[in-house]
Amino acid sequence: MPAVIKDNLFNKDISRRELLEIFGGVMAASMVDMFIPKWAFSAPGKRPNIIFILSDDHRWDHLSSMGHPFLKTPNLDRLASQGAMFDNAFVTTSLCSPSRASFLTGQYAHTHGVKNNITPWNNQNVTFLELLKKAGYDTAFIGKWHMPGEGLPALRGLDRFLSFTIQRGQGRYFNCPLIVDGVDTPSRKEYITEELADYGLEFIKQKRNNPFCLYLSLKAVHHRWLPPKDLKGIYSDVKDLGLPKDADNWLGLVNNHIIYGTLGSLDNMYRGYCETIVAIDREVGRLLDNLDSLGLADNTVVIYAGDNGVFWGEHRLVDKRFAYEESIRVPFMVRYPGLIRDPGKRLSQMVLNIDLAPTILELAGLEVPENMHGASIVPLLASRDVSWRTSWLYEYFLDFPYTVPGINAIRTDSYKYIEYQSKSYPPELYNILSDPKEKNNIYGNKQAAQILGELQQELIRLKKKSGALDM
Amino acid sequence: MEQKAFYQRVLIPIGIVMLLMILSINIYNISPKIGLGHPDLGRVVSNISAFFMFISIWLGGLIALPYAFRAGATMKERFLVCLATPVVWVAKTIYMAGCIYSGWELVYWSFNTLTIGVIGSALLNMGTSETICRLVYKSKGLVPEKVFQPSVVTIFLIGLIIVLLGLWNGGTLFFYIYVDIYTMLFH
Repeated sequence: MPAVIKDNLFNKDISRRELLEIFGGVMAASMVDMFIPKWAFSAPGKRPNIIFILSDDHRWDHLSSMGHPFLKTPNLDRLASQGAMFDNAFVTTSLCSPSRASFLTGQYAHTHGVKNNITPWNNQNVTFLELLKKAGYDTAFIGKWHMPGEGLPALRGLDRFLSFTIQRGQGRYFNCPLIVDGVDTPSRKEYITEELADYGLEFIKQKRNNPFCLYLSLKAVHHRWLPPKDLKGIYSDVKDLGLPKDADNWLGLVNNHIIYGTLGSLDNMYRGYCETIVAIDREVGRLLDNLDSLGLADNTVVIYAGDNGVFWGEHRLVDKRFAYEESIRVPFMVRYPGLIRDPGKRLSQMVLNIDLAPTILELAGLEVPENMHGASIVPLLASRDVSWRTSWLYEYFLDFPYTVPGINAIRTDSYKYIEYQSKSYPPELYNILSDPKEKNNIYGNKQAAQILGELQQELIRLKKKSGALDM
Repeated sequence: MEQKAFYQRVLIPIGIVMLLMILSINIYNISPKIGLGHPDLGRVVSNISAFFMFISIWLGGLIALPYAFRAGATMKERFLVCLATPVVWVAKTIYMAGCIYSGWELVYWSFNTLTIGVIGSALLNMGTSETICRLVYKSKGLVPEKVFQPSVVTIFLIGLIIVLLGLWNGGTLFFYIYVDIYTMLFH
């Protein structure tokens, strides 16, 4: 007769053999968990669809919900009011190609290798799209690729890859020739933002059993800031554009700025910029409306971000690259009813472009690879009490022929310290809280000596942590 | 036509445009400081100084050449008069870029849209101004030369081609070719 252990396990009599069987079962179950990916436990249909919309040169404060004086962006505002808006979102390199590669890989430019608009994309880089595909997602990259290299890359894990290579990958606002899954294809719609949104919607509407991920990468609002014909001139009557007081209309033509292609008056270029943002807003609205009508809105994560900011005369600069706020700060908003229980919330934590990939992977129930530098913002979206970064590393690499030296900077919640790789550019230190427009460089002030030392040490620590010192 | 002294033929025309450039650049650079206390005044100063800066750098030949022509400058001297200010400005620009680039990279940088554009514009100005001067002085019977002399037409055409190429498609055509060649040479 087998030995019996009484008064155990729910007060039920249980034999030693039964106990061993239960123990073995529990062990086996835990072993299974080690070998089967997390997403496999999720019920089909539960994993969310993901739409990531990336605009080009869209600065953080160019939304009506951010208090812009005349720009109207009701659809982007809707996205924010139905989800979460990050008031302190940044890019780790303020330049199109490096920043775009960081969004895709979750890595700093010194790791993914696209350091500027010339160093090529490495086909060995792993994107979150590739990982999603392996986990059973239907995936599409639609829009601007614009990373250096011969033509388009051999991206893995895409069911649809639509992009363009004309004008060194910048594309054209009107009648842009496309490359659809490797095939040269003429444009169907005259205006590029509408064209890309159309292709995005086609992908979303496909019948499928799998969840999908759409990476919609817009050309707008990059230079030459051309809106569609019906929006051209909608802001021509605006007299006070709100541009900086110390900026003048000639700024695009002086101080070597013509190299950026700023041929024209600052006012007119800026009006074009705002009108081109309205075109983005309109297409975002069309996309959101379609998600509603298709019944996909509740189980679809929609993320909108810009690849970097842009100067409109601040610091008497145009373009981007420098580590000032106008250049490095971007719009970043997430809508996901399944996770965000308090829609319309504004979050002040500093989030980065390198956080996108880990976030999407976590939302899809996947492990985040260790070589990703970013962190998932899912805990912030879910209003979980979590400790978050208090500082981060900014890096910019020389980009021929622009005369902006290499930059390393550190941004904390209250300070920014900038180092240039040229003796002609002295270091800069700003108190972001008391001097948000970064007009008063306190580098060298005796009162700032202690904080300067701390920031310099922290900068080295961040470089070490991300492997920047090994490069 | 009477040939005046060298300083009248060459130095004065160059000096007028060069002085205009130096003054306008410096006034433009201090205009933001003026604007801090007096925004409207600052804006007026920056607009006026930027206008003259643009004229002196990009269109200086249209001012300098008629002076030189009237003073009896030779063709070589007129060429020098038209190119002096743009060359000085380009040299200053290259010098400033020298804190970012060096060696052959800096040499290649010197052929960017801006520098080539300024030189192209100077040639176009010279061709235009020279032709107008010849027409005017020929009609007065003051110069025996042909109006459309091959050297003048050539200078005009070279300048026109460079300027058009630089501006084509908002300046992007030249720029992309320039960067493509850089990538081939240096990467």
